[in-house]
This record gives sequence, C-alpha cells and structure tokens, in this order.
Amino acid sequence: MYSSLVRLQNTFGFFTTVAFVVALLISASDFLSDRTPTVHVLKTTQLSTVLGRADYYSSKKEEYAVIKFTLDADLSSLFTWNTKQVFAYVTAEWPSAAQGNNATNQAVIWDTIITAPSSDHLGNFSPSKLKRLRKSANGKGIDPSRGKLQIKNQRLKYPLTHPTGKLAQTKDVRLKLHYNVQPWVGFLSWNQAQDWGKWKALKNGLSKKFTLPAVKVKEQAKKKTTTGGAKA
Amino acid sequence: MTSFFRSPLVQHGLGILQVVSACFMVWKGACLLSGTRYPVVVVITNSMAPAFDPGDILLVHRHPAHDGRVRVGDLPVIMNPDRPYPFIHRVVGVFYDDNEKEEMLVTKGDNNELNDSVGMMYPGGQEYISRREIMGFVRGYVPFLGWIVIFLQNPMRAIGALLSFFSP
Repeated sequence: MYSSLVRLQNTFGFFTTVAFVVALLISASDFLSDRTPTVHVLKTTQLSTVLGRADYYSSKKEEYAVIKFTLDADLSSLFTWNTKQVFAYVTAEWPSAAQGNNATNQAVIWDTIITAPSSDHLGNFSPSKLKRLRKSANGKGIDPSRGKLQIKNQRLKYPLTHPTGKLAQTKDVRLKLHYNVQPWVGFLSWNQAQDWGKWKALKNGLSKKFTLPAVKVKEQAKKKTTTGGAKA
Repeated sequence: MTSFFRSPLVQHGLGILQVVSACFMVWKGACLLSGTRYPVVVVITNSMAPAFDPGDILLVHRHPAHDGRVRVGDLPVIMNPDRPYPFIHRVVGVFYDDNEKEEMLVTKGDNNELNDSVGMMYPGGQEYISRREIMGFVRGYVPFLGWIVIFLQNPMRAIGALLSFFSP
C-alpha cells in the first residue's frame, strides 16, 4: 500500500499540481497590468512599383512594390515581469474583391524582435550589443526604454509581391502595426481590436490609405547590389 | 477465484493500468478541448528562436486568437506529409486571388532568413499553403518542461544541453 512506487507517484502528482497552479497564477498576473500601446506616426515616405525580380531568390519577373516608411510607436507598456519578448511587425494590407467580405491581403514588410531584459541572453545578439542591452537595462527586470520604436525612412525587409504577379495601381493599401507578446508562462496575445479591461487597443495603428503607383520599368532588375539598394 | 484478484500481480497490474488509462484520458480530453490532434507540442528546432527554444512546450488550439480567417502573425502548426513532424512558424503573408478558392499563406521562422515558400518546406514543393495544412494555432507557452520529451527521444542531446547549461 505504501510502496516506493506509490510514494513516487504521489510526489510527482503533487509536483505537477503545484507547478500547474503556479503557472496559472503567473499567466493570470498578465491581466493585472495596464497595456497602453500607442503609435504616434506611421506613414509612407516613398512609393513605387517595379516589374522585375523582387529579390535574389525570385524565379520569375513580377510586379513588386518598393516602400519606405516612418514609424514612431511606444510599445513599452507591453513589457511586464512575465514578458519574454515582443514581436512587432508592420504589414501592408489591402482588401481583396475576390472572396467576399472580410478578405484582406496582408504581407509583413518589416519586423523586429524586442527582447525583455530576462531574455536578452536568448536573442542572437553580438557580444557588444548584448553588453549595451544589459547596460541599458541596468539589472532591472523591466526596462522602460524597451519597446520604443523610432525608425525613419525604413526600407522593406521582405519583398512585397502578390501571387498573381500584379501589384501596380492597387487601391486602398494601408500600413498597419501589429504586435505579439510572448510571455515566459501563459497565453500569447496579439494586438486586439477592442479594449479588454486594463489592456487597451493599439491607438493609431493604421496609416492613411494609399494607392500603389503604376509600374516603373527598370533596366537593371536582375540582382540587388551589395549596397542593398536597387538603382532607379 | 477471489484470491486471484487479490494477488499482488493483479493488484499491481491494475494499478499500472489505472495510471496508463488516466494519462490516456487526460490526453484525449486535451485533444477534445483544443479541437486538434496535437494539443501540446514540444519545440525541437531553434527556427523560432528567441521566442521558442528547444525544450519549450506549446499549447495549441484549433482557433487563432481572433475570429475567422488566418491572419499575419498567427503561429500555425503545419503538417507536411513528407516530414515526420509538424512544424510551427509564423504567418508572414495572406493572399487572396480571384482564381483560387482558398487563401494563400506564406510562413517563416523568426530565426530563418528565408520564408518557407522559398525554403521548400511545404508539401509537394508548393509555393503556398492553406488552412488545410494547418492543424491548429499556438495559444500558450510553457518553457523548459519539454526537455523530458527530448530526453526520451534523444538522450544524448538532452544531456549535452544540460552540460552546456552548467559550463561557464
């Protein structure tokens, strides 16, 4: 009745029950902190559509968009003691006439991973950057300067194309900022459309609508130069 | 006859059967609650680092964290019949086209430079996937506990990770 196996089983069962309750309490603590993410500026600074190979790996010629944008946002309130990282990403979105209501084409054009001080050692940072991050956090669990995004005239990180190969003169395109909060324990959360209690929806996360211009024919569309920019 | 059922062999056997069937029913209950065949997934590769590291456990549910269609930023569990295990990456493109009935999705691991379309990760080398290849979406996260599973599958890898954790 009281064999070692039964004792082991009871201990393991108790361990898993306690671990489960602690995990539940930690993830519930996320709902007690305020979230007030805000975007101050999100706009395009350059727009063009080109016919050619979108990047080194493209196998065919297609219309691709060249966009530069400026972003000024404050996501620092998303960081709590339970935050492992925040994945922030900017998408270009435009409605699709094809599939009826609520069908929106979306493509990520830029993203960044913002680690919390507790997970800096997990990001693939160079030793100097890791040192700078640790210094800025200064031993703090939460660093209020994390999550402040200020980028000007940023070029696309990923090529913007469409499966049909056509993008020119697409109407009602908007840039949108999204975020995904990754906790140490608990449920992942994304930017929400409405306020939920202490978590407020992202303010001003959408840029103004714009139309992609007509195609500008490029002579040297084959390969991107090593400096990273395609010559107009 | 009753002495047979009271014998230690049968008692121990029934005890083991009780534990096994309880685990089985918990697993099946989890599958039902989450609406997917893979309610719990252990991370094996570091293609989604630093978000998901090897040894982490992901809780999967049939629906993403919002209503309706797949959106950019979701974390689907993608089944490719050509591969032994499903993989989990982030959706980076959602496209609709007049000629296609279903949405066309592109995914990419956070830690990968190329998206999965170029990286030939989809069944049959297709360029896009749709909701059909998706078994569920990651909704919850528990770190480190998955090393037990990695240990059971690949003990040397787990021991290696443990040693490197303690080394300076």
